[in-house]
Amino acid sequence: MSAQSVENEVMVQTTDVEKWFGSLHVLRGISVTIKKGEVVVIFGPSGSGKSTFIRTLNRLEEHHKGEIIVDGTVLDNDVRNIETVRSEIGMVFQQFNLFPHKTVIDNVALAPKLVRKLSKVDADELAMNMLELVKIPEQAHKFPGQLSGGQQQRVAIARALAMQPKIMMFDEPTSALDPEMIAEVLDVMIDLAKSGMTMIVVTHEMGFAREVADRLMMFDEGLIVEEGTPDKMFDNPQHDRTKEFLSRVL
Amino acid sequence: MAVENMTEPKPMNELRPEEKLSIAGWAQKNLFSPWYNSVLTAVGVILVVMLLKEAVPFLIDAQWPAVTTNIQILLVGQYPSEELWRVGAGVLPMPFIVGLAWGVWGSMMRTFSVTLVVSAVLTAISSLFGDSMSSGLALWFTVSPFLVLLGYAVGRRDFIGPRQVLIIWFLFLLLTLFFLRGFGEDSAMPHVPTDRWGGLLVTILIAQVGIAVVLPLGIVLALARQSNLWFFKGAAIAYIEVLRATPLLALLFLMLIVSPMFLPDVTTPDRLMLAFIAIVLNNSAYMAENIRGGLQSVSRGQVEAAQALGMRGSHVTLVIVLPQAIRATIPAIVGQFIILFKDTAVIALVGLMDLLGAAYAIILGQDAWRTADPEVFLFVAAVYWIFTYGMSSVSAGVEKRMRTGAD
Repeated sequence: MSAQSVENEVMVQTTDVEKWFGSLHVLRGISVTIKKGEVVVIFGPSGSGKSTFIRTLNRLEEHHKGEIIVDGTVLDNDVRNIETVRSEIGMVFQQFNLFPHKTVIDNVALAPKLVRKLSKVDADELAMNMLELVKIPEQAHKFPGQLSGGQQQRVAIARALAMQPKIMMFDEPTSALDPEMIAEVLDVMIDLAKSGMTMIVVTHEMGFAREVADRLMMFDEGLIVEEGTPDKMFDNPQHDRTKEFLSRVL
Repeated sequence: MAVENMTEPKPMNELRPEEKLSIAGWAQKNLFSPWYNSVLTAVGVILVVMLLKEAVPFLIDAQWPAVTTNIQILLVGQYPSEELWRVGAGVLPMPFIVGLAWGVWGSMMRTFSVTLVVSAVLTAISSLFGDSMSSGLALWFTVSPFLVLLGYAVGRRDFIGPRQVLIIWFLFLLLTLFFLRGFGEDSAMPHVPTDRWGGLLVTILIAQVGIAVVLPLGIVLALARQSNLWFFKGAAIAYIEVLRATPLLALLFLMLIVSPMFLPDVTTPDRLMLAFIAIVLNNSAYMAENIRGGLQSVSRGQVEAAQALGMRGSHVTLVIVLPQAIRATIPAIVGQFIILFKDTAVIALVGLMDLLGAAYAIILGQDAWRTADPEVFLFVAAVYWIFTYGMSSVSAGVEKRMRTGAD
């Protein structure tokens, strides 16, 4: 742990983050500052580095240049720092990635037990509270395979929330869902945003972005081409790439 | 404890009902059309008739006393007669545990349990005709089916789950071994060296202890091979690749003939133990590869989800990846258990007295039975079949459950 000098309310600070996949330069200098309670939506064409970037924030991907500080902890090769950061950032994946061999409640209670060392009783109670928050407590004793995609993604959100993270990251959370299930997941995410959670969301759901985002970032070819408030980005985009991209997704 | 989801299968979708056909219709459809199937049917019938013509007179004239008078050798080898009660008592938990497993795992274990019960009942009934079987043995075969049923009744109860069954099995296995081996010369249970053990007893013990050792060893080897630490990885690769490339029989000779040269003179090597080690070495290498396949089948997303929650590497492997890998590999694991069970027969070739070795001893050791080799080997084959058929049915049940289960 270090760098308590960072302003308290800054949750994520990256400076000139760069990354390569082999010879492919996927992140070419990303600098962002995200404050407590902010909801940031990241969008852009596929291959633009947006998923890779949020995955560097909890070290699912290693960055090669630049600096990443999450809630005062510098992300480097120190395993303790990585585990600290990971337990403070909740992450929701496109493919849900629930543990298929555990029941829904066990999925949610597992990390609090193993990482936060909660007793089984406390962890189960916490898990039930989280399942109520995402509105599926009645599914607690089923297995993930018995739920619909939308229900599974809500369980995944509950699982991340059970660690009581300071930041929630969503990597295209509705891209694998049938259209009629997208709304139930977005509703949960909107509630979460309104409760003051710091959120970083990679998505092309522009209705969601307009409703709750404080800031939008357009990624292209490993760079942030443009960022701003929803009003500015939607109504008055400056860059041709942003205009072109938004005209296709809106 | 969380109840593992190995309970009764979920109701599956209605299967398409089979078309109902009359016997003539069935024969027409399956035996006589198209025309070349008629030819195959005729050839098949001729072959069966020829076989029966030879087999029926043989079975009528067969010298079954070769089996019945030697039943003790076939079952326990040369275990001292005055200590036989220890074998009977020592293996008494086994039918109970089979019943427990049947109660806990349900339909998966049904065929296995029923096959053993039917075999025991038939053996008990056969003891009524003829006086060759000792009363103690007859009693054991009469009691054991009831123990299976008792185990089943207990296994149906809620307080016992898969984990408890495995623990009980393991503890009783150790107890059985101590019971059979005995203690000092003056004790109530004098020491019986393993070269007196034999017959089906040895086959079943090697198979069970082998299974109990090979599965954990295979898991450790598979994890080591996946490890990032070069020493563990290298050692596991060397172990697996060398032992998979060695025929079991060669390994067996190596263990029994070469390894004593390196042991200190004061110890007399336990030949049964050396043979057991050879079987374990060989089978664990294959088991490791089965499990490694399972580990690779677990998606990268599972690991990432666990890591993103802040779990330690050891938790990610042991709590998330390994259980899924084992679940995906169960059919292959049971297949390896069956291979291990059959592999035990090769120890007869180095002069040990397992079931097959006992058969050799009867045929070669007593002039009276020299010509009775077909009967003895038929009996031995039937006994092997009973166990392997039971184990195959477990494997088939597991696969069926994996196809229908929602987990």
